Amino acid sequence: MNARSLTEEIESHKSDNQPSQLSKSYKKYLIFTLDQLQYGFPLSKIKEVIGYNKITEVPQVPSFFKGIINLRGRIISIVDLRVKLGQKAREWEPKKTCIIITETDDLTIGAIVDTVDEVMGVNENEICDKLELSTNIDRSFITGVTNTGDDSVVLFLSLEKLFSRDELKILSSKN
Amino acid sequence: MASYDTDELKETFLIECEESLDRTECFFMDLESNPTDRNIINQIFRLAHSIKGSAKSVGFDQLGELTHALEELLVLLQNGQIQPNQYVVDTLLSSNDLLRMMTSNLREDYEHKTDTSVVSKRIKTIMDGFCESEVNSSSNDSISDNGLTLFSETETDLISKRTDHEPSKLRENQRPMDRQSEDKDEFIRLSLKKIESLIDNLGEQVILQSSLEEAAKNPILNEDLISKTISQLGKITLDLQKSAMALRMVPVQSLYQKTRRIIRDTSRSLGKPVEIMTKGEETEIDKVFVDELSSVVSHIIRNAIDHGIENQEERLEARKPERAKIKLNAYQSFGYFLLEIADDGRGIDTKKIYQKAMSKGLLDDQKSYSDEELINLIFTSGFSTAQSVTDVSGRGVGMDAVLSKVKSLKGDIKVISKPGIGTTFTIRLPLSIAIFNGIVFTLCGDRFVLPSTDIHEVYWFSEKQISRINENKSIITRGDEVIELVDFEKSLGIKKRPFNDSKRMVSLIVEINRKKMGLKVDDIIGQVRVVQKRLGHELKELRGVSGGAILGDGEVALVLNLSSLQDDIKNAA
Repeated sequence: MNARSLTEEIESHKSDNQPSQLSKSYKKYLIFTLDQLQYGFPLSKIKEVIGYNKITEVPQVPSFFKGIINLRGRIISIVDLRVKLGQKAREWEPKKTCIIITETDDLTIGAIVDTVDEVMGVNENEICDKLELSTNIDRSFITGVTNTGDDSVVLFLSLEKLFSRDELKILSSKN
Repeated sequence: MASYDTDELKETFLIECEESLDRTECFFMDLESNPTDRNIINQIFRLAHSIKGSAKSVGFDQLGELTHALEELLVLLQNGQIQPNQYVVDTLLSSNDLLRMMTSNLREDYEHKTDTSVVSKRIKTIMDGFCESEVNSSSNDSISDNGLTLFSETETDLISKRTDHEPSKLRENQRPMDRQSEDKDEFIRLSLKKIESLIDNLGEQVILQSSLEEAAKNPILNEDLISKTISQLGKITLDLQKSAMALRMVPVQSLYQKTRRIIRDTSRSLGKPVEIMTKGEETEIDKVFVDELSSVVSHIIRNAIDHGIENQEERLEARKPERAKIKLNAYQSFGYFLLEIADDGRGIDTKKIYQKAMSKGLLDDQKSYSDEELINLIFTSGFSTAQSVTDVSGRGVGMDAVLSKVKSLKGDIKVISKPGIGTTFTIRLPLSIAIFNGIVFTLCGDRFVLPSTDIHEVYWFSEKQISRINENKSIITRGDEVIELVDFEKSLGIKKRPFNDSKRMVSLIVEINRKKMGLKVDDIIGQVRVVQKRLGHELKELRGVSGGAILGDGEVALVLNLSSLQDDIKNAA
């Protein structure tokens, strides 16, 4: 799926709020892949998905902070989600890579992921908050996990925890 | 939903209230100079009345109550039952300050309660005083005499309190305002004309866009039309940019108004009568500048009244009019906004500056210095010629802060001083904080922008000119001049290594604390007109960066702010 059609789909899913009226516990998620593992962001916090742009580096920031880009005249900070989740940094393949633009309270942050897969509706009772995983990713950002059949799982991430002001703080130490 | 609506009402009320309070403050000061003008009192009364009514309807009871008390006082003034003497005007002004503080507090927190006891007591004193003098009037004919003695007792008390608390109180008042400008959304009053011009330009752009789309269906046939439309589109876009920028511009009047109050208060607490003259109130300036400049202007004014303007005896001796003059003049010239602040005081004593600077080891006794060079020393940090430290103009942490503030707004200050005649400060700023000229350069493979006003010159040099003093320090020599060379990437906290492949090296010569320094960079790309953009909140703490600029190829470059990098540069040197 290319970035533009995905953004349109995100918009149409957001405006189509019927299921949420049927059941309060039903929520939509944007599912993406990072190192063969699937993750989900709450769709309501997603602004759009864009292709990989040239990113301008910024000094003094933690290693997961990739830099800033120009998104139609607005400057947006970009985070390497792989590094943020405690994985090893790897070179990105510009052609395949996507940037998911997220929006929480007052911060707009772009997250680099491998591919964006689909929009998925999930009922709350399908999400398990007990984690029995063998991955080494930082657990404090995970709100739950769901089984999607054939042994594969989706990990749901909290954007508020992942991209809070404290998490993104500039390294204040000099030199 | 309901609570959202009332919140919006509250917010709107508070914004309107702030505007009204600006106007009442002006009226109160007018009243002081024209005590008999009924028209002024009527206008104040109307404003107070509408604040009271709205405050109660949106549930700010405390604000309503204070305005109510104020209103009762105004009724007495309106009927001529009390006269707007100093004590009354002081009370009016301090209740205005208090109301402003309350509004500012309420904007942060709708439930906030402010201590109003002091002002309420003052209002009550006047009201009681009036009642007493009214009672007395039945037995005694000299109402005014009686009233005056009644007030003068409290007045001396009040003045001693004022000098004690005024400066700290002023500073306290300023802090919430600064904070507000960071976190709270701000509002601007716009003329319909500006909006119409924006919409007209936008409409034109939409039409050109659609005719371009139409023509693009057959690009070969329409080649001429397409190129013509594109050039038209370019022109409209520029107009659009201009009209959009014009939305940020406000008349400098509101700055004058704040200044007027500062002059009044300072001249009163120092006992030096000052007359203010203003010119160019309608000159427009970026809204952000008005707020930022007020601290700069008030500092210069306090200094002028404290140090520049002589006391009464000295003025008489010098055959100057008893009332000193401070003139404010704002105008635009060559794409810049200029503000002159002139006093008719004793001028800056360059001999005193010389002695002081020598004693501090700031000057070389072998060299001779021009008056201009000496005067500019007042902007050096820690430099103050004041004989005594006063509450009004601080302790030598003043003018350097003023300069760095103006620099951070991409402007500069000039000082002209004539002994015995007076001193003029001229602040020069770009018309808008958002658009300015900058130099684009590369460092460690990334591009950066530094405002042209910060750069003295771009200096190319060869490796031979560098001498290393020690591990961290090197200098370049040019003729008999020696300039300290700074590895700029270190001051910025860049971890990568710079690349210089050629023998020629380049540095940006800047002035830090009146000292020339060379910032070594990789290469110079050129000069551009920069439209500065804000970075996200998450990058607020970034040292030395004031924002981002989008370059011709659509990529972002960081815009650097030299004044906030001063310490890092000094440490790296």
